[in-house]
Amino acid sequence: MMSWTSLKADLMKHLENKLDVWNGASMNETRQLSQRIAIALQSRWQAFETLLLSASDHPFFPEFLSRYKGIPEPLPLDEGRVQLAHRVTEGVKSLLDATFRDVLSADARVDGDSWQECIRCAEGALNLALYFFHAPNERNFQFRTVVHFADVAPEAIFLSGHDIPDFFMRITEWGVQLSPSDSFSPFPFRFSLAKACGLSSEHWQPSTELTSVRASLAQLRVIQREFCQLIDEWEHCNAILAVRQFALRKLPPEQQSQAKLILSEISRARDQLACWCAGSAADLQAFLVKGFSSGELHADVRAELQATDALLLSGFQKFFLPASVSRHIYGQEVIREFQRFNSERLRAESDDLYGMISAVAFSIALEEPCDWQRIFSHLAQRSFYWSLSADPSAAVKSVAWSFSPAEHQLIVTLLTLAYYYKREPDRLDEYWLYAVASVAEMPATFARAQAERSHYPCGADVQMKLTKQALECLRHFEPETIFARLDGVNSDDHAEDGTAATYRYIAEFLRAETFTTE
Amino acid sequence: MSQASIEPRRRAAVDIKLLRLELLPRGRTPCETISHEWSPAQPTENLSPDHAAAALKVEVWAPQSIVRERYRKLQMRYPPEQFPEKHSILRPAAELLGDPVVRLNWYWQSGLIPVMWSEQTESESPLWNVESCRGAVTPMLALQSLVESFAHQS
Repeated sequence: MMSWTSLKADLMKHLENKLDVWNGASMNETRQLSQRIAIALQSRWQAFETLLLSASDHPFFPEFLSRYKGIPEPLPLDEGRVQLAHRVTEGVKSLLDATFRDVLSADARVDGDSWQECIRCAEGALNLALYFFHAPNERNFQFRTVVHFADVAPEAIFLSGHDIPDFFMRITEWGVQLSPSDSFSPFPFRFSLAKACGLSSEHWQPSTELTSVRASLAQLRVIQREFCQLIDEWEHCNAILAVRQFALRKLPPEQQSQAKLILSEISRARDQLACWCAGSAADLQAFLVKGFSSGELHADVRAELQATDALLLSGFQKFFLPASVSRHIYGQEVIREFQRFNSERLRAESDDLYGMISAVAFSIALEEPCDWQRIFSHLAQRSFYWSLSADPSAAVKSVAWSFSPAEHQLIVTLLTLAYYYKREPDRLDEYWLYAVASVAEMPATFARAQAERSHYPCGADVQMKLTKQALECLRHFEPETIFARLDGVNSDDHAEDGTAATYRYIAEFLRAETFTTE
Repeated sequence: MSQASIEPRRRAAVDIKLLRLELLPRGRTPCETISHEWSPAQPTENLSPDHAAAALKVEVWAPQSIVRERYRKLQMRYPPEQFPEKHSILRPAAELLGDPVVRLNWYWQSGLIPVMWSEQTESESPLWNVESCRGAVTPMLALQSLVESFAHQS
């Protein structure tokens, strides 16, 4: 029996080692393959770009461009445009064909998995390059413009060559998609933006050496600029999707079932877009965190680093908007990217209550264990021992559909306390009362029933104590207090009505019994 | 000069304006990183980075230490109590350019994308100069960085 167990352990160990070696080798191979694909694409890019820019030779194009806002327009049928569409399709085809031929000529044999990896990598690299493509001094002339002007159909095209395996391709306004089968997701795969910024953490030296300071400054400014562009792109694409969604709502009732299908497709596109944007931001944040943790930096670099950090945090709030304002329910993969960005932030600023409260909210949505205790212990300290870098309400609202009543109540309580302690010795003003109220009412506004969970985030006594504290923080909004304050002043009562009602709503919400005591 | 330091955002995003909600409200907030200066109100009205740079005679994207050093010199040359009208431009200009958060915020609020450039040579400005500043990422550069990122990965 003894020998059998040890033999089994030995065998397992041996197998694991084997697997590690094999994984390492395949990782290495994939990396080399990816590198070769990017090099091959790069060598042909100039010609491809010239082809895309040739759209401007068409006599209608300047007028089309001046009106173009990212939305396809019906244009008169025209031979030139049909030919352009054909040229673009052929151009993409030959670009891919030549790329794969280059890469695969070295090792002719590719199995199914590595071929899949190969086309995924080509898709990621090609779309990343297309993201940066625009005509000189004309940002409105992008790949999307060409696709819409030439009216390239988003149809699956079967590609087969004699020395490369078969695959399918589709050209959409979002980019080029490749797949071993003829089914495609609504949004193409793109490598992270951070990979295109030429970042290298070698420059995070704690030295004051000029070359490294110079390189760090230049690098940080690339991040700042590219992140502003990313937010611009996010707003632009979101606007395009929103316009499309809006058009569907106006369809007659008999077409509504079809509209629902298209709507869910649009939602998936938005999710995948958000995933790419938030993932890229998380990668950039991870790079910044490396800088923060690399010890003493040059004063100029540190100042730029902090500004970049603030910019990323501020811009990231925009990714919550579809959920926190328009009640779009993000998929798990998007929330995972939110969480990744957030945990990167928390690594650099471990005393940030914004990060802790958002982390708890995302963990609930991802059904992972949450660290409530950390928030409790920070809130128990004086407010100068912790920071509140941003208002967590947008992050909280974006996943509010996943909270159980008890969790929701606790989060609203903690938010109130965090706002209040940071405003001390001043009182919260009305804006914050409305901020708290909007979080309180949020879960009910999603088209989804509130989650039910049998376990509670904390004991009923802790909850009671916190609720009491939170109510104390908002006490000055109590109608009696307001009237006492206004006593003798010629005030109009109507102005205070909204505030009093909002206060009553929050007080009722905080006092509600969400803990069933046995 | 003012033409060179900005790039307008994409037309569609400006025109359609759907889902373009502002981040945080005007007024005071208890938050520390994104605070009131990230609100839509202009932080220093009528003062763009280009004007500020012209007032201080530095570049828009000069590093913080250079802006501060320059302002200190100007303060010594023109003591504030003797030249108050001069300092009503110099001080806000030094604040706008001397703090990267404020400068970046100006672009963020204006809906403009900053173009970071320099015209100085390495000997004039060792930390930020015409050789060190990196322009916009082009598809070719993006693919180049991608190649390098695969090479560095291990």
